[in-house]
Order: sequence, then C-alpha cells, then structure tokens
Amino acid sequence: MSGAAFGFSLLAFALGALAAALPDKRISMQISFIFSILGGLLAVATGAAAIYGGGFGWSVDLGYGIGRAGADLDALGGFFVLAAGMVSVPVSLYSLDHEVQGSRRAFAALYNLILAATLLIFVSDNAFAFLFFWEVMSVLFYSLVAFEDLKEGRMGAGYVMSAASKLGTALILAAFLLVFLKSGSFVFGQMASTRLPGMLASAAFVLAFVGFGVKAGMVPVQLWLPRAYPAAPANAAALLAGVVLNVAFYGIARFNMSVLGKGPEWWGILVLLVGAVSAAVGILYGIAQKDLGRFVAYSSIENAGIVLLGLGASMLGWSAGLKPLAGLGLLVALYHMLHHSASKSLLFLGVGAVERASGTTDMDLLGGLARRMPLVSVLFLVGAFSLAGMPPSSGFATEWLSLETLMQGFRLPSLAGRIPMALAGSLLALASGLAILGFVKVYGSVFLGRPRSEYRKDADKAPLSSRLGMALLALLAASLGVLAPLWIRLIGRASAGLVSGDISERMFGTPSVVLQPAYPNFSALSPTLLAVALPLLLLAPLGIVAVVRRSRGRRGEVWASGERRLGGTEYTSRGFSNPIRTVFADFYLPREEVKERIYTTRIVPWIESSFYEAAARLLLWITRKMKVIQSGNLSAYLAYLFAVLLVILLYAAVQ
Amino acid sequence: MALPPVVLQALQVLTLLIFSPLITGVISRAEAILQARKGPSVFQPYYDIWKYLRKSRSTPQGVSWIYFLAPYVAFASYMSIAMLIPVLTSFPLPLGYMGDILGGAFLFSLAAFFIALAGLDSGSPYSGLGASRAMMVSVLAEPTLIFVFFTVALISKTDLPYVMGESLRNSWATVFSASHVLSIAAFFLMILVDTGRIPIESSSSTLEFGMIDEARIFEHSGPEMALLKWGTAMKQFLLYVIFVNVLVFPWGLSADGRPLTVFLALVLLLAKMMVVAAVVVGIESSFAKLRLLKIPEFMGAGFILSVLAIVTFYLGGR
Amino acid sequence: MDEARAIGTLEERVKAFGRSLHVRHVDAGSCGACESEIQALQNPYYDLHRVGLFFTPSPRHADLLLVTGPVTRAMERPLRAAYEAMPEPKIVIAACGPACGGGIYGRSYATLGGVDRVLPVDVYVPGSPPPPLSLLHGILLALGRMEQKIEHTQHTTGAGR
Repeated sequence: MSGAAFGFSLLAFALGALAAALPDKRISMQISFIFSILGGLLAVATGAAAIYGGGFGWSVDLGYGIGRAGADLDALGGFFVLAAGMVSVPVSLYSLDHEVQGSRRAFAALYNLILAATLLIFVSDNAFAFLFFWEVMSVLFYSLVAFEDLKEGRMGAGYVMSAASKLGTALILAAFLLVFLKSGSFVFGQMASTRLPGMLASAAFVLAFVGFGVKAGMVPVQLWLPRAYPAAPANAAALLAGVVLNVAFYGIARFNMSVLGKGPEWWGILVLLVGAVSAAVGILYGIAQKDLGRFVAYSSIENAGIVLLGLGASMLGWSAGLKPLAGLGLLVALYHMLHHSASKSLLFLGVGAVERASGTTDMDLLGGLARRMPLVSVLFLVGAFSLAGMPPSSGFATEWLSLETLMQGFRLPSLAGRIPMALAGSLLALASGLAILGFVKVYGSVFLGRPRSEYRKDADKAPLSSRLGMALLALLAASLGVLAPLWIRLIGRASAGLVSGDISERMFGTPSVVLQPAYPNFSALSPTLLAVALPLLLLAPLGIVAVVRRSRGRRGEVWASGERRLGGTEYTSRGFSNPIRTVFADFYLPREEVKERIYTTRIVPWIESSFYEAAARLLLWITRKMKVIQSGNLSAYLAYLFAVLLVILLYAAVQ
Repeated sequence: MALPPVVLQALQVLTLLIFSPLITGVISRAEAILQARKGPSVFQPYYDIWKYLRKSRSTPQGVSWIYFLAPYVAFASYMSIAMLIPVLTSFPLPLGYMGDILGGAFLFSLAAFFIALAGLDSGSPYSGLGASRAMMVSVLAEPTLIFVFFTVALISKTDLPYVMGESLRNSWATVFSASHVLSIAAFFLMILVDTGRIPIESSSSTLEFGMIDEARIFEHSGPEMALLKWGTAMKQFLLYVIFVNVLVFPWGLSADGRPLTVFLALVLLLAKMMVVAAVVVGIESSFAKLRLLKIPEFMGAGFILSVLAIVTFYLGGR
Repeated sequence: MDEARAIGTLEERVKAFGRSLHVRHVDAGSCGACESEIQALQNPYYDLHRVGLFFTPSPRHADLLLVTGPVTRAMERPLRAAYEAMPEPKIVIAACGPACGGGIYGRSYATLGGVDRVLPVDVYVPGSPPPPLSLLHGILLALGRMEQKIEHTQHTTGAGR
C-alpha cells in the first residue's frame, strides 16, 4: 500500500518535471505544479500508510562490495514523508500563479525534482543511496536558491550555500566511512547491528552531527542559511525551509540515533547545548535584522536549535536508561519540527505576498499592510503567533513540551546531565522570550502602524491559488496546536521504533485532551481546551463593555505631543529592537564608525564567520605547507609516482 | 455542604475580577501615607475603571483590528490564568488542568504580545517606545522565571501549582530550605519587574520618556483603557497569588470547598497579599527608579539568585 | 480645523467622571509661574490625589484639559490637537490670568489672548499665578463638588477707558 503510493508519488513528480517542457510557458508551469500537488497528496498517503499500516522494502544487489541496496520505508521515515507531503501541497498550490524571475518552467521542473529527491532520501535504506540523493538534493537546493540571483545584493548566496553544503556532505561521508570500516556494509540495518569501539563511534557521531547540522543551520555552521532563504523565490524558500530542511533532522535520527545507537552521556549533552545555543543565538541575530526575509530565516536557526534540544534530551535520557525521557525528547523534537515546517512555510509565503505588494522586504520601509491586505495579514499572524509560541498555538504546545522535557533533567542520575538540562532550559526561555519580541517587531513594523512607502494598488488582489495555499497552511498550523492530542498520537506511533515504545500512551492525563509529558503528576497542559476556553472568556470583557459603555467614539490624529505627524515619528523596526541591541552589545559587538559626520553602526555576525574563517585559515595553512611538494616540475611528479610505486611493491613483497 | 467545583472555579475568577483593583488601591494609599499624604481612596482604581468604561473612545486614525482586540485578549488571558492556580481552594478545579505554572507563564506572554502589538498599531511614538521597552524587560525576565520554576519543580517534583503548594504544606523544612528561599527571592524580584514597580518603573510618574508599561497604552481610551487598567491590576493580583499561595505560604486554602472555608480562604488570601503589598510599598518608598539600561543589571541579580537556587539544590540536595 | 465645541452642558459631562478625574496640563505659552503652582498641587501638603485627581501625560486618558498661558500662536495648534485627542466627555479649565483673557500679554501678534478664543472653556481660574488652592477650587467647581464663591463680578482696569 505505502509502496504503491510512494511509487505513484515519485511518478507524479517526474511527470511534473517533464510537463514543464510543454509548449506554453504558463500552462506548462501550472500543469507541472498540479503534478506536484498530486505528488504531495500521494506522499501524505504514503506517510500515513507507513505509520498506520506498515512500510515497504525493496532492494537489489549492487555488487562491487556495496551489497544490497534499495528502498525501505519504516514508520519514522513515513513521518518525514508525511510532513513533506503535507507542507508541500499548499506551497505547490501557492506556486500555481506565483511570479518568478527567469524561466518559470525550469523553476517548476527543479521544484518537482527536489521534492522527489527529498522523498528518496527518506526511503534510502543504505548510506550510499542516501548520500547520492543527498547530493542531488543539495545541487537542486543550490539551483533554487540561486534561481533569482539577479536580485540586487543577493549574488553569491547560492555560492556560499553550496560551499557549506559540500563541507557538510564531506563530514557525513567521513562519518559513514568510519562506520563502514567496521560494518563492511553501507546498509543502515547492518551498520546499526555493528558495535563500534567507543572512540570510533564518537568520531562518527560528531562528524555526522556537524555534517547534518550544516543543513539544519545550527550554530556555528549556519553561515549560509540566513543568506540563502531570502535569496530564493518565496515559494522556493517555503519549500526549502519547510520541507527540505527536515532531511537534516532525519539524518540525525537515522544515523546518529538509529545507526550509532545508544552512546555515552556527552553525545546528548553536546547536541543539547549546541541546540540551546543555536536557539538563543539564531533569534538574537534575527532580532538585529531589518530585512523581513532574513528575520524569518534566522528564526529557522532558532527552531532548528529547539529541535536539536529535544533530540539531545532524548539521547541523554536514552544513555541514562530513562526510556520515557528518551521517547519524550524525540517526540517533542519531531513535533516541533512539524510545527516549524508548517508555520515557517506559511511565513515565507507571506514574505512573498508582502514583497509582491510593496516590492521590498525592508521592514523600515513597510508598515500598515494589515489594512491593505487583510487576509494575508491575518494568515501571517497565524504563523507569527505560532512561531512566537503564543497559546493555544502549536508553537506554544511544542515550546512548553520542550521546557517540560528539560525540566525532567532532575531524573538523570548524574550532575553532568542535570546541569546542562537546566542551562538549556534557561537558554530556551531566553530564546522564546526573544522570539516573542522578534515577532512583535516584525508583525508590528510590517503590518501595523502607518504605511512608510507606496504599495501596489491591487495589494489585496493576490491570486486566489496563492491565498488558498496560505490559508491551507494556516489551517494546518492551527490544527497542530488545537488538535495537539491527535498529532501527538501520530508522532508517538511514528517514533515508536527508535528509542522506546510508543511514548504517546504516556502523554495524556485525564481527560485525555490534557497533555502530560511522559511522567504523570508532573505537569499538564491542554492547548485544545485553551483554544475553546480563551474565546469563551473573551465574551466576559466584551459583555462588560457592552453593558456598561454609554457612548461610541470617534477617530482623530494620533497624539504626538501636539506635533503635526511628519511621518516617521512612529517606532521603526530598528528602534523597536534597539534596547535589546544595546543590552546584548557585548554579544553583538557592533561595528561603529563615523565617516564624514555620519555615524553608522552595523552588526556583523562574528559567530557566522568564526567557524568558516578558522576552517579557511587551516586550509590555507595546509596548502602553504603542501606548496613545498607541489613544485610544478614534471620530473618531480614522476619521481613521486616512482616513489609511490616502489612503496607499493615493497609492501606487496613483504606481504 | 461543599460548593460544586464549577461554582468554586467561577468564584476564583470572580475573586480575581473583583479584588484585583483593591490591591492596587491599597498599595497607592499606603505609599501616600508613608509620604505623609492622605492619598487617594483605596477604591480609587474602581472609580477609574468605572469612569473609563463609561467614557467614549478617541481612536487614532489608521489603526487595525489588533488595536481594538488586544485589551480584550489580554483580559481574557488573565482570567484564564486564575483558573489554573490555587486562588481559593487547595484542590484542582474544573479546567484547572488546562495548564500548569509554565502554561500560565505563556498566557502572561499572550497578553504582553497583544498589548505590544496594539502599541505599535496605534502608530504613536510613545506607545511604540513602551512596547519596545516592555518587551525587552519581559525577555530579560524570562530566563530567571524559568530557573525559578525549575528549582521549585525540583523541590516539589512537580510543575502543577496545586501539587507544588501541597508538597510545601507537607513539609516546613522545604519552605525554609536554602534553594527554596533563594528562588522565592528571585521570583519576588521578577514580580517587581512584571508589575512595573520601583526600581524598574515609577507607577505614579507622568513623564512619557521614563515610562515602560504605562506608555504602551498611551493611545487607548474609553472602555479599552478601562480593560487595560483592570488587566494591569489583575496581572499583579495573579502574580501575588502565585507568590503567596504556591511558593511562600500555601496554608489557609479551602480544602473541602464549603462556603465558610472558601470565605476564610478569601479573607486570608487578602491578608497575605497585604503583607506582600506592605513589602512592595516599603521598596517603592525607599528606592529610586533605575535608568533604563541599568535594568539588565537588576535582572542579572535576579538571575544569579535563581542560578544559586538551582546550584544549591543540586549540590546540597535541598 | 473645525471649531471646537463642547458636547452637552457641564453638569451632564462631569456626571460621568464620578470620583476619578485625569488631568492633562498644557502650557500654552505661560510665564512658568502657574507651572510651579501646579507642581505644588502634587506635593503632600495639597495632595490632589486625595480628591481623586491625577495628572496624566496622555490626552487620551484625560478628562480635563488644564491650560495655562495666553495661547501663543505657536501653541494654538498643539492645544487644539490635545483637545481633539481627548475622548468625550471632557472639560477645559483656563488657569491663570493670561489663560482667562490674555492677561498682561493681551492680544497681540504673538498671542491669541485667552484660551476661550480656541477652546470652549468651562471654568476660569484667575490669578497670576493662581495659588494651588484656587486651582483645586476651580477643578472641584467644574466637577460640581464645590460651590462658586463669587459670581458675576466685573473687573475693569484703568478709569475711563
């Protein structure tokens, strides 16, 4: 069942890619996207079938010592396929009428292909195929990011992205090879059944973690991410951030957890702390941005951090033998990932709509869009509301669950595990507070207040398909919070095989709409009930005012101490975040300069460049040393060849 | 005869609605007396709210629906928090499992989120200033609050406010344990922050540029202003309830839900709050307001206290 | 700009205030003497809070506009803006001689000569500056909480003019 659905889904994407070659530009693009919708729906069916019915397996012998390789979809992979399908369908719907600079049919083809490649990553049963599709995905990722690289000042985003991606792949490859040394097989199942010696396993763990982390955008290897997403067309950014990004978490779950298995305590601590730092640093830099797209991209770093936090807590619990904690952490991580996928795609589509209406994403030039495009502003608010973690949204449920997971730190046997859990909790609290500030700033300066520039006359006349796509995503995002128990059951089932049994059985209190993180009588929360109760409670103040109020009011000028509103007296996005920039000046290290009586201050994220600058310095140092042997003299190279040959012959003789 | 739980829950919310302005009134009156004034009536906040409810509104042009909705959302979220915490009874009431103490913290943020958005929506430079500063202050308070909740959760092995109180009631030793006292101190500092008291904000000041919370609602008038003012009082009342009925002195709550014990619990709650109010009045009358960018240092002090609390617990076992 | 006009009689308007009144003070070109008297209102001796009066910086929160000074031309528009921004019902008090009728500044190229040339004044508090108790009396008079002491007295300056 799931196998057939998967096959048809791939077929749909392939047909979609082919359809882009049809004669009429516009029609071919639309047919292509209709196929991607179809493929997405089939992916949803595949995922659901894999979780509830059962996956599929299929393999052939490839020979050459690689062994059998093929496709294998289990419940965990099924969950990722489901998530990819669910989020991609509305994004494809949005894309039907979205304007893209450059060849629209090429864009549609790439769009279909990257979806197919992403799905194939989730079913690859061996490292070889996994890496192959990973690279295909990376190349397509690059072409989507660089698709509109004519955009001013955005040249090079794709280039940085592809360089970072190469680094990540190299690290992942190294990790796979380390395991292969011992297992002699690239098939994940066989790799998992080999027990590696401690040092080797740890090396593989760290390499793979950093490698996947590059794709997830974790600190300090996130350099490419805030550049890449805003450079891509809005619907491509939505797809990349909402669908493709998840491969990184899949990689960590599949390789670092499933293949390498239970590890020492410090693995979990490492992931936990990197996640916590990513969450705080990501959103801190996000707040300092004045470009809407960049803020949304930095928020992805924050959310990647929160997912890693959950995974880290899971590993920590696992290594301590606390099955409920291990299961809880994993469930929370996957839940947060799903929440982020839906809300973040929604926001990127919203950024596209804003850019369409105003021609800019500079927040200091926007404002007052809520009155110009009411529907988009409400849908954007759903996403912002949820990513800010406001009750009763999905972000609220997942952030609460993450904090509750970290609170279980006291159940860990050693102090070495407990302290990082508490520390991560406080960093997460800081990050979630900053996220609220960030989204207030973004929503306030883009949609509220007064317009700061001229907008298109038909700002609210976005194509129906694009509005429908955003509305669907908003519905999905809202359902993730309001129907939390259903989703938790699904994720519990999907993640059952990895570290513990189905944890969702322990996730509900009485009545069963109340969430309870794995340990009874510790805490309780019900987004569902809150979603019912809060609107009902809203009736109380409305009633009080309706009964007591005596007169209506009128409108007038805004009060600015009697001054005529000269424009620009209202707070800008930069002004709004200035207190935070000042408080965290020791972190931001802003570069100030006075040139020709003009004072400028810029925040250049040192943390972004630090890792890569160090890596580049190391590489340059190595190449300088290598120059000694690389003389360029042909006879010298012949001598090297001869020497190598001699060594090999000697080695053979000794053997 | 015990009252039905639904009635008790309604009473909890009504207690919040009815008595929250009283605490604000008592504090202003007490401060005035300390300053050798007669001061406003303790019922002054009621008079203010009543007046604003009946006044018309004067709205700046160009605002969106957020400006109007925000006061109502804030009001509703404060009401919902009253259902989650032990205001009158020592046992959980219907819908009390909608959230624990962390869930309550998120509901406080919901109110702050909407009020800040409304401040930006009004387009006034002053409310933008207030929104920006208030968000900064609440961001900085967040890690401390979480550490306090962590510590209390460690001590009582739970995050449910009712169970937290229960575990304190069962052991006097816990109440006086070092980590508990430290986390109470940290929480108290955060109460000063969140209720806009000296040394963070001078609640009686009329200088626009020195304001934080008050400036956010600069452009609201009429019924919405009444709700915001009432909401500020409710927020303070809720924080005091958490402080006295969960963290410091969870005694005297109604254990059986009989009308008499509920009434006693109410009287005792107000008495406990008066004690907290007296401390707040003492602080308000003896310190000066901090400069805006000195506030992080005050927050830092609170954070250190909360870190000490957690470290003391892990190293000392208590 | 439309002519500012009060809606309803003073009694009708102040009925809504009850025991709470928020005051927005606008200095429309005063010499500064009234400001020091208004400051004195807030000290513990006069303590205007005890009668439920509070100063507020936002006209949106204010019920009473307390204007000092003869209304210079530069301050005319801000004064109107402050009145406009206040929600109904609202009252206006002209505090100090210049605010009541121009005072020693009179009507000139620089001043309009009294608040009532711009806004509908409900209570005039003469004196330059009026002492705090006069101000308090004026406010309470407007609220109907005190009786008017002198009525219909004509003041003329300089004989035979």
